Amino acid sequence: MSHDCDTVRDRLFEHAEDRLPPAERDRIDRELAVCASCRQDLESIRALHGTALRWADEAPPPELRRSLPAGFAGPARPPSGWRDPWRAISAAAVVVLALIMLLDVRLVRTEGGLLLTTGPAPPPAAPATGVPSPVPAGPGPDSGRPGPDAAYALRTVRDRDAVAAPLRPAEPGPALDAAGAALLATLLRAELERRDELAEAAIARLLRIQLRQERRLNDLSRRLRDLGPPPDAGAGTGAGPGAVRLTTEPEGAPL
Amino acid sequence: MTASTLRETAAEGIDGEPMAPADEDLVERALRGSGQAWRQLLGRYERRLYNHALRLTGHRDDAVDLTQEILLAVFRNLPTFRGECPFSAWVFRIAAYRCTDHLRRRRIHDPFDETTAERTGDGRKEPETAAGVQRTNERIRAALARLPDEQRLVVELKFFQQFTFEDIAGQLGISPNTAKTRLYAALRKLRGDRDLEALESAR
Repeated sequence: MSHDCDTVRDRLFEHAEDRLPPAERDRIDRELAVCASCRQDLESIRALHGTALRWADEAPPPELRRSLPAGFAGPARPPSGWRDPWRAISAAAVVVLALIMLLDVRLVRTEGGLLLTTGPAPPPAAPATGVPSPVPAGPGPDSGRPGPDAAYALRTVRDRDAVAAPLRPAEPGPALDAAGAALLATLLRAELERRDELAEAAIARLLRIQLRQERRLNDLSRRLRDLGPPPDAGAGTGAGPGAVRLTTEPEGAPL
Repeated sequence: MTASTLRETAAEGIDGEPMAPADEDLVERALRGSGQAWRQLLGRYERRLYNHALRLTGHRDDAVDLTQEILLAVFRNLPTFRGECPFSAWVFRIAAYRCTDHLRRRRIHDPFDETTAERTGDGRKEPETAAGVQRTNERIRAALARLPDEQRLVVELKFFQQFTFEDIAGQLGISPNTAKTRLYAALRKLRGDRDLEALESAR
């Protein structure tokens, strides 16, 4: 049997600390019996272990503690782990945003309040007061005939408050663009990999996007309210201040 | 007794009383603003790090400076600790970096300079410590001071901190085999060291 000092030295510390299985310990003992250098190394390990045990810890001087901070003034890091309620809330936010993206979920204002709905936008409903529904664009302003209503699905006063159409612009499409989709994918990956920092940053950005969209929705609904009642058929052009012309009749022309 | 049984026993205590909180629990509480938890952590590591620095630098003033550097770095980096390794290993990883940097910046003085020789010869200059214990510590410091910095660091981490070669390799950014090589070189250098032999003969 050839002796390899490096192989023996690999196990010498465990041997000195009595951490070898019996068969391995016996094997090392046989190797030590044939090599004085390895035996000397084992003796040195045991001697230094003994020396280390003789060290008596000294107390640090009091000025050391006085020079150190007393602690953190407030939360220096949110608690981590799935038991953390904020992590559960952020996970819920991820699910909601995923629904918005994947299922074309929209927020709809109804008489009873806000309604979450999915699928494509329904066609405009017929008005309740007899005012003609919006018709496709017709003859231009020079034709002498009443022009169409605006391209948006504007309603009568009564219907506007019961609008079933989405409050966002008429163009179809997902609530989030490609950048938002990539961001959401990053967020989901980060959550799976439990990368708190990446997830928190992505959540913050998605929440900012959501906030911007909510502001746009609020702005649109405010503009709808500011429009006031649509001009009546016999009221000429007597619209209130800030009103938007809904027909293509030249100003002042008799109806 | 298996390691897991030991941990369960330690969590409960021998007499069933709840044991002191784990380092990781104290870290979480400290990060939430608990000054008491931070002070408890300091209490656990301050003395150990000070003696670690004392053996590495050979001088008390240098040891205080180095310990302060290490603990300040621990404080600043505490929010980044995620429990991916035991807290003690994380602390000593910071300590290893600070120690290496400190030793690189300053020359290690021979602890048996004139001032130290006076101290070891006259126990009255160290009224709080038994002269014999003080002398033992200083002989150990002197022996370690004769090692190159990289060997002294490995000896300190292996024999005085009881880290495994894998832990040491992670803390110093070297391979376990390199750590073993440095350690064996240190052992051969310490063989026949006059201070260690004096300690042996004084037993």
